Amino acid sequence: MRASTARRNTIYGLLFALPWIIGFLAFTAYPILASLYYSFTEFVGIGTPKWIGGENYYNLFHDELFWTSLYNTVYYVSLAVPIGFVIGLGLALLLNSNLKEVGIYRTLVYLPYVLPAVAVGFIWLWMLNPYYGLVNLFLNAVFHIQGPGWFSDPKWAKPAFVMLAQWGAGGSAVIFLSAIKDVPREMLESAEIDGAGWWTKFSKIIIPMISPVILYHIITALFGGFQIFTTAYIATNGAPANSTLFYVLYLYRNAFQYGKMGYASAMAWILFILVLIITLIIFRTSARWVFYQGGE
Amino acid sequence: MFGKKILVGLLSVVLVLSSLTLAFGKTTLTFWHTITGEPYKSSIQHIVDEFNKQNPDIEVKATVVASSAVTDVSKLLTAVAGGVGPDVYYVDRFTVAQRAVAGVLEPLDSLTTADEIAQLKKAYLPFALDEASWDGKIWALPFDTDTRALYYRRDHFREVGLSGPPKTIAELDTYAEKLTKKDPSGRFLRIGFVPWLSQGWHYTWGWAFGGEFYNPKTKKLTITDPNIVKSFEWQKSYADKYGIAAIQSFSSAFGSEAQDPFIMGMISMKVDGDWTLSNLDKFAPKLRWGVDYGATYIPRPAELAKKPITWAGGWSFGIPKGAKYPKEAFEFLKFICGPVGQKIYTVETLHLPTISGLLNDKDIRGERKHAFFVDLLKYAKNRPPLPVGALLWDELTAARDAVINGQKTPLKACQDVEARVQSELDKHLK
Repeated sequence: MRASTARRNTIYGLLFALPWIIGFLAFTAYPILASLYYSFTEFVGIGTPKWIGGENYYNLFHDELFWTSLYNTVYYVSLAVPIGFVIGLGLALLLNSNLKEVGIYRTLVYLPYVLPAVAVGFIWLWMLNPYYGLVNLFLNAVFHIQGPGWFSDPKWAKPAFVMLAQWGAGGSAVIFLSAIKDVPREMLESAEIDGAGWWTKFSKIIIPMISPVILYHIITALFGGFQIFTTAYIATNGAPANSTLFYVLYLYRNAFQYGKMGYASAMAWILFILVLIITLIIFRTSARWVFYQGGE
Repeated sequence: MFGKKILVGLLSVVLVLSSLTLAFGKTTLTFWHTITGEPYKSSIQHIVDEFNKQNPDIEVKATVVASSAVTDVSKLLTAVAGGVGPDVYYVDRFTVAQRAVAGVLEPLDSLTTADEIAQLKKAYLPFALDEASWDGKIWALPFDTDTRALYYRRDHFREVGLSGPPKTIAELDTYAEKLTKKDPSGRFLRIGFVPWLSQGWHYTWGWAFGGEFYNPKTKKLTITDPNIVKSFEWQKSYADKYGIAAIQSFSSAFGSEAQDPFIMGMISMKVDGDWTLSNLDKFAPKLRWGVDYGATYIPRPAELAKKPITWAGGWSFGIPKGAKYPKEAFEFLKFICGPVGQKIYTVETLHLPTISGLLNDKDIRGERKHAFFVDLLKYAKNRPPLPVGALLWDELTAARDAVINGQKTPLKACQDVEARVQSELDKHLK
């Protein structure tokens, strides 16, 4: 009797989850596996893929633009992620203060995060306009320096995207804030009684206590950073001189503009493996700096 | 009770009606295009309505399928792969070869007789038909086209004491210097000319300098053609003379429509297409043709200056693989791309036709300024119709950027484009 109830429950459970399971298999698992197969073929998107073994991978490693796009993306990630972390955490600390109107600030800080990437791309195109843009007007008015050409200058286009990425810092700030709020008050109070200053409290209590959230943030930020596409597609579309040809942008061109679906699939798998390796390294080292309450 | 009766009655009416239409066999064609702007969209609908009126047994239904880029075909690819593609598709002519190779299009040769194909070939301007061909077959019928010329501000010319437009590259360079103005701090107020703005593409200057990008006989790209390399060197000379950072930051302040730099007087000359005429009429009605501005042939090096040159692009209509009614679709193609369809469209939108017989049509030639661009068509070249056309374009653009930013020498940039795109092309030629 019991056994059959449990069985029935399992069946019901599966039935209820079935729409999701079907969706996952059809729209996530199958395309992922199919792209692995396509990555070993010459394929335009329709018709029969032609098996060519590892040729796509071989060609990719000899493709100058592949390396350019990878370099651009790594450059972007290695600046945008750490800066995003510092700004996000900094905002969270500010929002943690006991001001009366802090609720308003929290909303304001989060607000830019809910804007669609396309709109953000357009807004920043104007903010960073060398002649009329607010950023350069500010630089000129306050520091009396002539700002760079940003999106139109190959040297400054990538830093411009790093800046643009900080537009979304409100999102991570809210997550950091909730983690900081979870730090036990009595712990901070007893530290204060023992004479700890704000820096000691911050570095010895808050950081270790929120380290699991930091780990989560860094990993999701890495994923997001490596996949930068929309804003770049809107603002520069790879120009000038391929200095903002990011990895996924080049992948998209291959798949949908040059009719090289197999080549693009190979790119997707290389990116996947690259991000996987970086994630594994971070997880490995995280044992040393991430502190889980109640853990070992 | 009563409601039920009405329902049954209605249902039977529907049944009878649907069997009637079956008996009359009216074919519904699905037709996808990407035109969202006006008057273009209404003009397309006008042609469709006209066709439906003349062909009671066929009903064409036009649907706008928005697309982010002319070279992006993801929606059509997915639909054709899924067997739900349209019967007629609007396709940028310079991507026809690429679509043909991808197996998205039906070759038109298989839908009709050799005689009719020969007739069609005679009807269209050679460059337009060439763009719609690949591997000896026709994959789409040419629709509208465009041409490019040098626009110049006559009022600026008068201001600095220049009488006529430049004819040679050397004249263009001196005029540009004369027309350039700076404020006391050294920032540009006006630049006479910047080669790569608007329609000053790699193709524009490569051809103007007498270069050729492809040799159809040897099936080799010829980007390292000394004349193309020279055209890049010449563009670089502007970057050096005026300072690339200064030009880029000046030109990033340019807007479009009413804020167009030519209308705003921030530049005095630019290479642009015939469509600019409508923009000028709309956003700068005070600028008068022949008085305040004019258009002339694109300047060329002195030894070539007597032979005008320009290039043309444009669109076409094709039939995707797996179309349900390819025969009827072909009829519609011949109508919309034929004299009737092209005349409606070019008169209503001021685009240019690709049917040779329409070039002398008074309604199409319109005003004198427009007729100048119609007459340019006889000097028009077309981008090489290759399955790697989009790649070649992107590569040339990146090469141009690299050259003007001083990251590559013109020769090295051209060599890189040639090597890279040729290896892609060879895959299709195997």
